[in-house]
Amino acid sequence: MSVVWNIARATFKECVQKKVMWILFGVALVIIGLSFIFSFFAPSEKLVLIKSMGLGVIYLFGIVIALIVTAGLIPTEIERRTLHTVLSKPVERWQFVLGKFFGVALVLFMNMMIMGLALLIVVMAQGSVRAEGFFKALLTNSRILEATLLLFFYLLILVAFAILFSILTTTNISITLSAFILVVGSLSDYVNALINASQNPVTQFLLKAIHLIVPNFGNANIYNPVIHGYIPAGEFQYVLLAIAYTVAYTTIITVLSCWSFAGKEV
Amino acid sequence: MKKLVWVIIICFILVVFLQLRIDTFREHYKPGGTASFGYISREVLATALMGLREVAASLLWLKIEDYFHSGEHEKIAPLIRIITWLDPHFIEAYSSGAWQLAWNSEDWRLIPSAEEFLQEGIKNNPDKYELYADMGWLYYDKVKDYDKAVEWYKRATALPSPPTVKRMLAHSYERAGKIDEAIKVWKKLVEEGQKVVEKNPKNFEAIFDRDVAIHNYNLCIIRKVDRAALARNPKHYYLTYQVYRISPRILQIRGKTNLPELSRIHVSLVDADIEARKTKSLGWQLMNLTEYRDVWPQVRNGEIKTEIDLSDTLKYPLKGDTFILKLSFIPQTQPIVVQDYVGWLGEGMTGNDLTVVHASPPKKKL
Repeated sequence: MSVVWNIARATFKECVQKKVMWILFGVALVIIGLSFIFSFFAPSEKLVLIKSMGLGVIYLFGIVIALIVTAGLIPTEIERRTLHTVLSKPVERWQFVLGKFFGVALVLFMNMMIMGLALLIVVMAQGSVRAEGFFKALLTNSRILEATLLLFFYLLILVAFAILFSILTTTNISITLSAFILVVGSLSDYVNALINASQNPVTQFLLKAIHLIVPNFGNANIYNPVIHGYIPAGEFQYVLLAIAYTVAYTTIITVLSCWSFAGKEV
Repeated sequence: MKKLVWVIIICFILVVFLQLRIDTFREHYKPGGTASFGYISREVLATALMGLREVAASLLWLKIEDYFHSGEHEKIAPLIRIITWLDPHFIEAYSSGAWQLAWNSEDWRLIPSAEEFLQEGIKNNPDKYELYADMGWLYYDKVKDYDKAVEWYKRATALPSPPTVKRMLAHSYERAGKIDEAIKVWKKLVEEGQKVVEKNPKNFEAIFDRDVAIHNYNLCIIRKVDRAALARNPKHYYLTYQVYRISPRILQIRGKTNLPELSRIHVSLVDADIEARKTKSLGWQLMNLTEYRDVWPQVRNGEIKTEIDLSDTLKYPLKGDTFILKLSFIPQTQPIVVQDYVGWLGEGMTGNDLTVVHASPPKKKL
């Protein structure tokens, strides 16, 4: 396990040296920080807008950072031939893939939680503290971090896909295919809605199969209750199920990645 | 190798099981709601927005401000329709949309749409008092059906709500002529206000709320006694009037009355079959209906003089064959100074003159 951890740490260091990630991260923080320019709205609308915009920015920039950081990792190692150096040491290929995955996961976790914290600070500074008091405001708005955490877990599925595609194809194709998976996965809720609209049992079966097989990124979207401050019934259970889903899905894709990488000629 | 296949199979079964369980919870997390918007699928557009629907709703809300200040009111209602469709928990959008339809459009045909719009908001936000209170205000101020206003304000006050909403419940009871119920609500507000003030004597908002309740409680008791005396000695009131057609689309009404000064006469001119044709529709289809209503004409020096201006052909298409012109004196809707003479429900007036109605079917197109 220490091998995986060492590769993860090296990947983390490699990622944080990428300027493009910091530029994206900085832009996201600036957008979140500047949300106070909406102060001409009435107080309740202002907070709704800041929260919704902030979570949207976290998600969008999370996607871009995940794709840009992940898709180039393994192809770059192959191109620079640094992979040969790593694999000449007592490192199994699956350990290498897992190390890369956990390294990116760490980078993504750091980025997203800082963005989430920034949003929390902005929301509290923009009136929530004055209206509710510090501790109540912190408790109410800490669900921003819960929503961010859930988004992070769902982006892990995207990271796993990006690694798999980067093993099988080039960086650009990997980004394109991963983005395609993201779009299709975001439609999964819609596919589920279509099942009820369909009368044909065969169509219903096919749609259900698609809904269950395709990664459902829509599960990560708990924005509305967080933005409007209501807690739906069974939220704790829902979040646990949604996280378990990402763990299971990520495991499948990561196993496939290890499998593919084991048979790849480098 | 075999182990890996088993890991994948087990994880896949787990994914399917978890997604099925997650689907049972998803309804709570979708903004979803009951809105529909023509043939555009909201799921498709919402997915296209990739989770930014609340942002889109908020930005559209900003656009509404522009339209409002530039006087382009006709563009506001459809935009609000889209906002609530994107974010069905945007309470202010429902409130403003209903206000836009019922008050700002100055088109009585849109009142059922305003009601339907608020109903949709309530369905999507059943635990928020605001929209129940808005519905109460719609019936209190616009429709002037005080029994229904009571019904909605009761539902609003059943939820956590500020004293202003409870005050409106008491006012609605009073307007509906249920004075004992009104007194009960004021008394409860006085007691509640007193408790809050005792806890924090420097809470000036609570002091104000309590004092308002005390003032209204006392007023109600005085009025109850005074108006009971009116019922023992009712007065005969009359209203006679004539209608003049001073231009093709303008009618003038002139009348004489002994109703108290500042009494309001409700004037309406509508299609004879309007009630059968009017449907509650969120499509806001106006179906060539004509519905003119004016609740403001006042009695001055024993005379009533007002004009029915039907020049706006979009608002008053006059496409029907028969119209009903009606003048009504409705005691419940009168200013307090008039109610001091006629009572809450006209108990200070004699029999058939309680509501003066003159149905005047012109029998020909105006």
